Amino acid sequence: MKSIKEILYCLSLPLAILLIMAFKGFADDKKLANIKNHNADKSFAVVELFTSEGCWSCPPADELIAKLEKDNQNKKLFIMALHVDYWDHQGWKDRFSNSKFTERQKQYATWMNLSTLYTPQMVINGKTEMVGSETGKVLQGIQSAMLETHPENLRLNVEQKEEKNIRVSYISTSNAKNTDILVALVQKHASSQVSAGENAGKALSHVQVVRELQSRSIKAHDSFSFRLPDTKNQWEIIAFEQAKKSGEIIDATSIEL
Amino acid sequence: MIKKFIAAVALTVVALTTTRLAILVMTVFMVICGHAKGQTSTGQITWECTLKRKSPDEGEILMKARIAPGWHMYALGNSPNSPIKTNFKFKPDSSYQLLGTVTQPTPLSKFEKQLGMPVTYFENEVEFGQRIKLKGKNGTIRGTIQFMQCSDQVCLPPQDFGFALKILN
Repeated sequence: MKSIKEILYCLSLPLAILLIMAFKGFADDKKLANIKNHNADKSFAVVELFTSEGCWSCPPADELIAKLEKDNQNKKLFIMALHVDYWDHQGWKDRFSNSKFTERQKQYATWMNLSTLYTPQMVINGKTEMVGSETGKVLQGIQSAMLETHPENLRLNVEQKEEKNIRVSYISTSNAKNTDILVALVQKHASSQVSAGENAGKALSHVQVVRELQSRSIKAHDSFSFRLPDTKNQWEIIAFEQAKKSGEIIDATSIEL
Repeated sequence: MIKKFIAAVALTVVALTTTRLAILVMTVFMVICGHAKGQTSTGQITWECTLKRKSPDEGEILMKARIAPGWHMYALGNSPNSPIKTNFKFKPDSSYQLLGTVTQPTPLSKFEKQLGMPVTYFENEVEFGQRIKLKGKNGTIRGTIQFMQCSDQVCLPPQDFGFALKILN
């Protein structure tokens, strides 16, 4: 009898740890569902993921934003994947990478006083950053951002859509000083082929891939032109107002093309 | 998750044959290990370069990398079709001449699913060597090491480490 008690005692601690881990997964799923169903006025979360196909610690972060994007009902959750180019070199290239996105990540490192760049990095509302695959921290960050309220001053409109040529305009009633307007052309879904090795030809899938990002000082109204890389995919424009000195994002909106 | 599960099973097996105190100690250790993994996201590789004389006219440049726990650094010889950039460059100088290429110990290897190819890397500490023929009494060996490091969670961009070694009589 004593030995059964002993065995149960021995098993209890590892089982407790497993239960805690299972509970954590369950809690994350619940947070994820809450974020995707949240639709309060005057709050938003702009989620920027700095990633690369050449970084093999990045797929869990890419999967996390795919989970956030799938069946998302939250119109104030703006997700963008920015593929940095520092993994590219002769013989290897992430076709979604862009040196401008690396520059943007460097700008965040300056704003946030970080000693190094890394991937996958998630930045929320230009204010907080964390490892992009740390599900709990990312979801917590989004929930916290959604608790803050902001005036809604930005309106976006598609002025022209002819084949691949797009022109969008915005109207802003913002009184904020020293801010930029950033407008991102976002490919909703994308896939890329592994170009080398035994798995050559295998597709890597992505969501919310930023293909172009334009920035200017904000005005009462202005327009931006884009050329779509193709007309087969689904596209979205995400526009947001960002403080020049701190990097904080103070307003955001989007429109499907 | 799988690693933690295996650790938990291993803990159970050990626990069945040890005392209650041992269980508690191991559990605490396991929790601390899990926590520490998340704390190493800025762990940097440090380099130490020295020139070792083998004879009056031959020497070896030794380049030792200390890799923080939880991190790994990529080895020489990975496919040029991979994103891995590891290389050593030495600035030509009349005081020395390179003999052969940079040598390294046998690296660890794993299959990288995303790239569809095996990659080789080092953990903890690694020493690279470059043999040289000494041609002058004085001179300086200048070089640059380009390397990349990742942990289980993040990868840092390729970094350059520059060094200069004085050749002394």
